Amino acid sequence: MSNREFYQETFSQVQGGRKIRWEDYEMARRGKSLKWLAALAAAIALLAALSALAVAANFFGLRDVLLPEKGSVYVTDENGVVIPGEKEFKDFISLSGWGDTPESRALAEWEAFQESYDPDGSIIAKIGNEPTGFEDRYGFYLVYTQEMADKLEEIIAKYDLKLHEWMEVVLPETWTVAVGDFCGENVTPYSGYIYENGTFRFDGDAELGAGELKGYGTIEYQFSRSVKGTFDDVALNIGDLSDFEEWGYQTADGTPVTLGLGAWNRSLILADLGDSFILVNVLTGQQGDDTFSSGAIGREELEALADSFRYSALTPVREPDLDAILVANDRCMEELQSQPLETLPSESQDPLYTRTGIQSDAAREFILLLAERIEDRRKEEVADLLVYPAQVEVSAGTFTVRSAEEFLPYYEEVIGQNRLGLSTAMTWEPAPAEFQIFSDGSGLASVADGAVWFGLVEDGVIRVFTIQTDQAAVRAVGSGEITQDAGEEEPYAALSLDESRAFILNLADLIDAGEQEEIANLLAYPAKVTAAGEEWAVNTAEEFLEHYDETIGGNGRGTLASDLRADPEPVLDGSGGLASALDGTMWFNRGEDGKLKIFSLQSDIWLWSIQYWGENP
Amino acid sequence: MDKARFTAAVERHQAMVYRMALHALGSSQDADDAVQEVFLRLFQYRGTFEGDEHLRRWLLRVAVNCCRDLLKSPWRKRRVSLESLPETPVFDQPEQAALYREVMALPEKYRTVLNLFYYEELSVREIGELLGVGDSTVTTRLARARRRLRERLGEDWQDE
Repeated sequence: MSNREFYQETFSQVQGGRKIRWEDYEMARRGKSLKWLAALAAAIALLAALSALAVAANFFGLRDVLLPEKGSVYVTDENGVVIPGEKEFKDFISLSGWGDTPESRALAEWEAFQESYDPDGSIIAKIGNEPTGFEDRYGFYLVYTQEMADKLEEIIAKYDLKLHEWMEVVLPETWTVAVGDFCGENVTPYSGYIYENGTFRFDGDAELGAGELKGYGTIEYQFSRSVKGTFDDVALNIGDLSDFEEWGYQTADGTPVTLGLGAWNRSLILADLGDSFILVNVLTGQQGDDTFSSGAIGREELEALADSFRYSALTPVREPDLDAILVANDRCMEELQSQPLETLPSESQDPLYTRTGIQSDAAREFILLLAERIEDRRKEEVADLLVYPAQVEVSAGTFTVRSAEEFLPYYEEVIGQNRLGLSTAMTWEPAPAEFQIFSDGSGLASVADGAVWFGLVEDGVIRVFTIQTDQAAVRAVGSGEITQDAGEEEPYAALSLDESRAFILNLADLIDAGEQEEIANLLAYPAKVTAAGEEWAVNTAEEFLEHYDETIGGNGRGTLASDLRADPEPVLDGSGGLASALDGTMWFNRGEDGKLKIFSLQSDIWLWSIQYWGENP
Repeated sequence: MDKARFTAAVERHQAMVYRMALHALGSSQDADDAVQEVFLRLFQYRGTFEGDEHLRRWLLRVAVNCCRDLLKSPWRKRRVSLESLPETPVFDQPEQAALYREVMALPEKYRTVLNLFYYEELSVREIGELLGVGDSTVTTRLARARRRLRERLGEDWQDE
């Protein structure tokens, strides 16, 4: 049996559990709920009654939204896989309002009931995915027996609350229609959902680039507005309340908010608007979490994000116009479907511009120009596009050229003999209307699998820094300031292919031989080592050796060595600086002593990494 | 799209969309959500398809985008950790259970490429186009994933 047959036989036995029916979508369009969407607001484990009080007069803090007892969550391993039977307890907060409001009290009672009801899941297991008959009235809540329905009715009657009746997806361009213009220009809302009373939630990002925050980048968050008077069963796991530093703040539009700066991947913005309650769950904190955001934040960044919303535009609450939302969603869908994969909203930025300062269109134009000149043998015009001085590597040796005229004698060997291969590789289009342009963070971009590197020079025009083939190469030397002839004794000479290849193969040999000390001496320090979900600061080779078996010397050792040996071809960034191996698995460069050092090495499969943590790699 | 075509599309392709989502998201609950979202988009789609293969590619593309959105959503992370344990599928053979376990233990980008290559039988070029990455990236991911499977599954996963 082939691997493909093995794979297909295995995964053909894996089936989804949900029935997809035309009628359900029709109902949703007419204003009824989809049961699965209600899962977005599913209840979570919470216990006991609510008794929180404000900790200080006129200031409501996080403790005032904290639910009185911790909730249990499943523990996951380093791969995010749930570990059966293992639970831990975390602090949860209400999204519905301060703790003494009817909405939050009702939430606490409902969760206390759920915690004790059907604890082993035997009742719901019998029901399975079949309709329960409770969908119409309780479709947005976890109700699957009459007893649960009775309890929910009792709670909402006690606190004089309504139940949600319908919900609709809101696509990114539809938010203004759905709830008004409350987002600053730096804010991008993704799709989310809105209920009949105006309660809504969405994920979004914001660019924090003003003033001292310039360059912070993108911050991601979840925005929730809970309109009062309706029962909502969503609560939020915040980990440990004691991790938060909190203070009061008045936003740019004059709204008083409570800010909570968390330690890791969570910070909070809370605002009571009278008829609704706002909670923004910010996905980073003082230590940062680059999974979602650009990095760590401080008080200034959290205040800047709080200033990015016009809360005053959200009150008084107006009931959403379902027809208008559906029309706007349809329009948005049509626009989305007409876009190619690469330009959907979540990918609409131009990463090439971000990394190189070159817009994709300009890069594309330059590539076409260069390819055309190469193909048409317009030597002088090609030579004019190179950066000088440059190092030429040809069969006769390595030479420095300082101008287009000096380069022309080498043109045929470096470029001419590969004329068609180069021009074809440069303009090959793997996706419609998109060249395969690569950028590695060095400021340069490349095409043709790293054969050609280009970037901006001082006068803002695009020039070629490197053209390299199997036979020969021309590379700009440094940033154009080096005056020594290449080939002289010079400890900081640009990396060459041969040297880089030898370095990669030597590393593979050292890994196979278990030469821990030698490998440790190849790393650049200080470094941050991550493995098995933990992180260590490592300042010396001796310190790294304590983590050798968890990283390079661990289970993936053989794989890493054989991968390096099987593909020892480095990709040079063209500036004579960083080189990478194995599709970016390893980055190396010359260290302060002129010897090659590893600045980054990681394993996506075994989930460890070693990153240089100092200045100027 | 009318009801008959929609229902036929669900019958023919729901399992494919689910597999795609399961590989991308690693959670059966999230995969079910993604399936519902993908077919919601089909329900809302006003265009026409030139044939079943066109529809299949469209669904795969939409599934990729939906899963990307879901992967970015921390609401999802919360739900993954709070809802009931993901059910473990029952397989005919123990080696199939082992393959499932090892595939699902891989990072997302490897799972997705494995599914598209081995199950959906797309070429490296087609996978690259669908995911918006280059051929070399696809082949690298495939090579690493295969190597990992070979190391972990022994003779059950053959050298290629």
